[in-house]
Amino acid sequence: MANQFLAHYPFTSEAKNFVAEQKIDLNYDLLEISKARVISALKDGQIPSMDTQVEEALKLEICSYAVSRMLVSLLKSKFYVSRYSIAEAKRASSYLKVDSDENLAKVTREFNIGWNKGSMQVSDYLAYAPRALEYKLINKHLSNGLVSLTRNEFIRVIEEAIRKHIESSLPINEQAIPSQVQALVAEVKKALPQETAKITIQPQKGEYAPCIKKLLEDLKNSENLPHIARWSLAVYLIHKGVDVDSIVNLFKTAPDFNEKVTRYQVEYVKKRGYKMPNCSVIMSYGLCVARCRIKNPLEFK
Amino acid sequence: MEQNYIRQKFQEYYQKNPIEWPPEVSRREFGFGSWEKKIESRHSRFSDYTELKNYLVRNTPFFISYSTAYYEFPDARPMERKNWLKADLVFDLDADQLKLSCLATHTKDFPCDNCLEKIKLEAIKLVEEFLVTDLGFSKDDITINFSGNRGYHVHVFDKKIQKLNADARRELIDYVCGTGLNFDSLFYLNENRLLGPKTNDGGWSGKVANHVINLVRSGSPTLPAKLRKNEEIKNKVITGIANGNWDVVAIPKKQELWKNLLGGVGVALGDKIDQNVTGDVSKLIRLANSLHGETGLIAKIVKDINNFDPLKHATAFGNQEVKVEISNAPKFRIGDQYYGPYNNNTTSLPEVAAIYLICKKRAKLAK
Repeated sequence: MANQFLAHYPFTSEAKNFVAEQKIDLNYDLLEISKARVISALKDGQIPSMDTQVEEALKLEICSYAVSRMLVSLLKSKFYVSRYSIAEAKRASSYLKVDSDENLAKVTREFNIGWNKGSMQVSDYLAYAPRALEYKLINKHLSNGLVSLTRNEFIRVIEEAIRKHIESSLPINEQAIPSQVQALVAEVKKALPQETAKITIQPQKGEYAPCIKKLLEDLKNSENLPHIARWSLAVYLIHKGVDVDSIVNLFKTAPDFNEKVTRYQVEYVKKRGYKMPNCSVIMSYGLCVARCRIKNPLEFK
Repeated sequence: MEQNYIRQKFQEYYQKNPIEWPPEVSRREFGFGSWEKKIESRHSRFSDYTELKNYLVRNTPFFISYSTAYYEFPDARPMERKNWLKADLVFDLDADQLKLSCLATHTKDFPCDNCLEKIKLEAIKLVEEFLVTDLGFSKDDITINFSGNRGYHVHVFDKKIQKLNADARRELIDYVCGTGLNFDSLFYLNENRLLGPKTNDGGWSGKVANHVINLVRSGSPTLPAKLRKNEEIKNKVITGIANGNWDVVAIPKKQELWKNLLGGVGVALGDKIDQNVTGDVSKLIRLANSLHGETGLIAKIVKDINNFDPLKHATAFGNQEVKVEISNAPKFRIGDQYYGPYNNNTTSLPEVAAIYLICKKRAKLAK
């Protein structure tokens, strides 16, 4: 079922060609499906998977990706582009997990990434590995330029490649977007929660360390901070006596925000009583911005 | 007067010797250093080799560096307008960062034989164990240059890694330096038996196993007495670890013991690389085979690292006698000859040693 592949992975060049060859009829069904796709991605952070074999439904699904991209572009928000790309990548990755090796290889060829006997090229790995402790290169088996990964770990890396690919292709030029799609923007906006107020927190006295200020600034700008950055920020703020609720609220501006997961993680950080890493470690995370000549960010006054 | 003398000598060197130039020279940003400062001006561009060579002969800077990055517009300012295209991967190793105990006897401006030997071993380790064995780079894509002072610059010109951003390069540094190793994940319990890394494992896993075996074999004083004194136990432990069995002998709190032994590996390694050079994708690095204005030595491309002696093979000047007034200097070596120590002496030295001291601002031309 060739069209099923295209419906699952609509960002591939094959899917793009398919859409280009269609005379897309911007009918009610297509517009509604596309609208739902965008709203679900932006509101819930995920796009429900759909398993149909019906040719007509598959075609709608493939085309809805193209229309969704137009809709997201019209929202003119870096935050929404980022959040939408994450949801699309997650959707594709959930299909990849249960798909054949042949289809997996077909998707990864899209990014020129090879996967052979459980390993991939270190240069590809470095370009796309998620920034998390368990994905640090040092914690992987590496030999002769090849990184060993389980199938699911490999798919997680591919998910990142998909996300970057989608995000870098957006927004699309507004003038190229048909008026029927433009007419939907207001409805999409209405369905989304009011844009979260940009939350700021201030220390009770003195100032936060420059690396921490930078992280808070990045969060405010809806940058997708790596896990290790979020963890460092949470540990720091807990040491500064900030309560869990306020910290969870801060992360609301992260494009992949999920309240339940965030709350669990922040509470866990508090429960475990992690020590704030020293500046040398913060530097190794690539988070140091100021060389303050102190030993630990908590010493900053 | 000294400045003019050194400039004239450097100029003669650049007139007589072909210089090296990096791949795609016209896409690189160049920077120059003065008598006072290693990088005083930057954002320069040369369209080809001849232009670069002519500049060196005509203007003769005391230092010349170029960007590890390739830009569309190398001479545009500010940085963002250069349009970064890609960058080589470069590691900067400096003996100063080894914090060796010999530093107490010679200060860091006069690296001794021990400093230079130890930093050379680090460069060899970086290339052999990390860049080639683990990361799989071809030796044809790696060059090692003496820095011109007391360290080495290791360049990797592999096309596959040129596009990597600063974050990804940071991961490579962490890998090489041992930062962020999740030690606990290397071990697991199987029916109450502590199993862990084996010597033939890839990556850090194998390094950990080999490192601990070396400690046991050499009877490191950091080990508990039981593991140091009894040869039979030592051999059992070594064979066990080689095969991933870390539980051959009953030792209390084993996992912590092994972990503490390793704490040192990463940190010790980590201090040896100037991490900024590798991580910063707009850094300038000394041009190969150019002269270093603080030593008068050549930032020489090293062909045979094992037999390379910078104080012998990276010298640019001869033995003609020059009379100098030396303020002070510890004992030092150039070529096979040792000189000093000096304290307010006026003496004649071979040109190469005189230039070495003048560049270090420890000597003046005698009247």
